[in-house]
Amino acid sequence: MSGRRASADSQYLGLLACISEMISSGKDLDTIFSQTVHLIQSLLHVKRCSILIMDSKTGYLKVKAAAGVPRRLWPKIKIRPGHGIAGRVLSRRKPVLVKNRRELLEMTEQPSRRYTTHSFISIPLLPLHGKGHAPGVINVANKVTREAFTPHDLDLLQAIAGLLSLLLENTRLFALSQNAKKRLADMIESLDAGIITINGDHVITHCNQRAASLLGCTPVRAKQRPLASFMDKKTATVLNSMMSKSLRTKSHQEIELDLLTRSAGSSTPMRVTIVPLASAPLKPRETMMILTDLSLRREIAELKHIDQLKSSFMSMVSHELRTPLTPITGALHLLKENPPLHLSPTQNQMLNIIRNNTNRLTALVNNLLDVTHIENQTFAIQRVPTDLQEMIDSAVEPFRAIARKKKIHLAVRHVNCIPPMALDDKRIGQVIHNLLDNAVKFTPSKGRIRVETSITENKVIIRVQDSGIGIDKSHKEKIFKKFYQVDNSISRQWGGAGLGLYIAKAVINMHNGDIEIVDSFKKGTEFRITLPLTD
Amino acid sequence: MGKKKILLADDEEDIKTVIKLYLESKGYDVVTSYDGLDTLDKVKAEKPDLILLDIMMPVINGFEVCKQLKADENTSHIPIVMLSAASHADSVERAIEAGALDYIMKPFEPPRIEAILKKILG
Ligand SMILES: Nc1ncnc2c1ncn2[C@@H]1O[C@H](COP(=O)(O)OP(=O)(O)OP(=O)(O)O)[C@@H](O)[C@H]1O
Ligand SMILES: [Mg+2]
Repeated sequence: MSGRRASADSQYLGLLACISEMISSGKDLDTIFSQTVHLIQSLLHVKRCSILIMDSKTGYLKVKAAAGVPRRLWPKIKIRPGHGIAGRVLSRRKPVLVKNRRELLEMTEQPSRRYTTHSFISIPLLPLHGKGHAPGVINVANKVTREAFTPHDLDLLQAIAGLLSLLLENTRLFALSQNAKKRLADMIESLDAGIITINGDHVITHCNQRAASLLGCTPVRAKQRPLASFMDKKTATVLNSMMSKSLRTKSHQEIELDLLTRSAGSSTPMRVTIVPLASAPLKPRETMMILTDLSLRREIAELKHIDQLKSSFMSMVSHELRTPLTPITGALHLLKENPPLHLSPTQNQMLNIIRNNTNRLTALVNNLLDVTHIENQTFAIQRVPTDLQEMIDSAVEPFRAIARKKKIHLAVRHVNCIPPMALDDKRIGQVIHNLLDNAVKFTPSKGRIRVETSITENKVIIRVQDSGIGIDKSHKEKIFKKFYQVDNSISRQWGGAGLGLYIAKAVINMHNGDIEIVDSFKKGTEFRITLPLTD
Repeated sequence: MGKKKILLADDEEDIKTVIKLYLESKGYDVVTSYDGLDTLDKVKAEKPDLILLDIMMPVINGFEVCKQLKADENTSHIPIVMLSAASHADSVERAIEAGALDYIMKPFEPPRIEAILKKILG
């Protein structure tokens, strides 16, 4: 008896060794499962042996491998967790040995017709443990010899279940780590920074797409090449000694330099960060190099600088123009107040020319200053209670003379009465001025200009219409951009800086209003200003 | 009622000449100064009724002059109107903060000065 036991023992040990060898050989799960069920079948002399695994998609236990069960039946076997014997073993995570028909009936909802009253019954079922939930069951049924399973058999099956559980868990972990690794690799690949790992001999061991393109190479071709082969000697020396220092002192090293790679031909401003890698046992003395392209950052810094230069230039110009304009304006005014007694018509005309052009220059300088404020966001409005209609009347007044001269019919109409509003009267006046300035400029002789105000429940509308040359739809939005002018003979002839509408829009927007060109107005141009009513 | 005396502080000779001429034609007495220090001296010597003060002046700028005059109880009552050529550094807020009553942007039509003087001096 003990001899038989001893031989069984060694057989069993052989079986365990066999299975554990299979597991460590790295064979795939299906092969290992299938070989295991056949080994169990032949060694324990059982009729059937199957491994059922939880299918996470359907939530059923399904046959993964079986011996003694025809393959066509496999897909038909679906066991819900908690139901049937296998289902209960899975849920309770405890092995069960079904010893007779009564037990079988007790535990089975629909006992298989296979087992008749007289059937011999000895069916062990063992759970496969996994992390968190039991992922499967080993089901062994009836020895061919019609002997009951001994405790010893059960121990063996338990050990096999343990091994397979371990295998399942490892597989799960492996998949997880594979996943994590892939995600990490994807991330490194998609980084905008160049990442290179370099071994102790300063040879590239890995390099992402960005790094490769910065080096003027492909990731595959960069591998196993010395870093120095990609760049000039001096840079390579600097970087190599930084790598050594980083490893020696276990610290980050950082430098900004212009990297001239051999293949790229041009140099790129770059920040290079060198980090000693911690995975010491496998790859001793490896460093990671992070390359950050600074060209864009430099460009931005340069643009900012230029922008600053531009605005201090604008402010300087405006100051330097204002100072001489002040005595000119003052002197002209004195001349006008006390005109010399004998001015010839020509001299008078000359004086008018000086005056007009001084005004034009002053307007330009004022506009430039406004633009500076708008751009620096220091443009502010001061709201005061304003009679809008009265303000518009006086804004129109200065244009009467020139309209008369050009034989343009200039009319103002106030459709209904507008109560006082909180507005920056000077700024809104400037807007009307700019619009009329354009209207007069772009309307030929004998044309018409109309200014109209009206009030609705919650807004005030100001229209400035002219019968002039009109504005093509394609310029509708652009017209409000700084310095934008439609190229035509009139704007060329009349000059102007293209600032009037830009400033007008800024002023109206500061009042939370809108200014736009009315599409439906076909006889010339109509600007419509909408201002919300304030209380 | 005697003539009101205006101190015009600006380093630009042409501006001073024109404004002085204009204000005199409107019946004001006008004295001038040419920089910040000179302005402080002239205020003490001339005791003007109002000061037209340019911001960008040599030695001591207009803001500083204004602050000092406002800090001195002998001069703090004198109304100050600032003249500015709108350089980057100057602004209405800073002028008002320094104690100025009003602020005129260069270039200006001379009647604008007269209007402001009338408003302040009556
Ligand atoms: N009423 C109008 N009729 C036809 N074209 C117009 C009219 N108003 C504006 N435009 C077009 O829009 C452009 C921009 O106008 P905007 O007032 O901004 O500049 P500008 O008049 O050329 O110069 P500035 O106003 O600085 O003296 C004009 O040059 C012109 O081409
Ligand atoms: Mg214009």
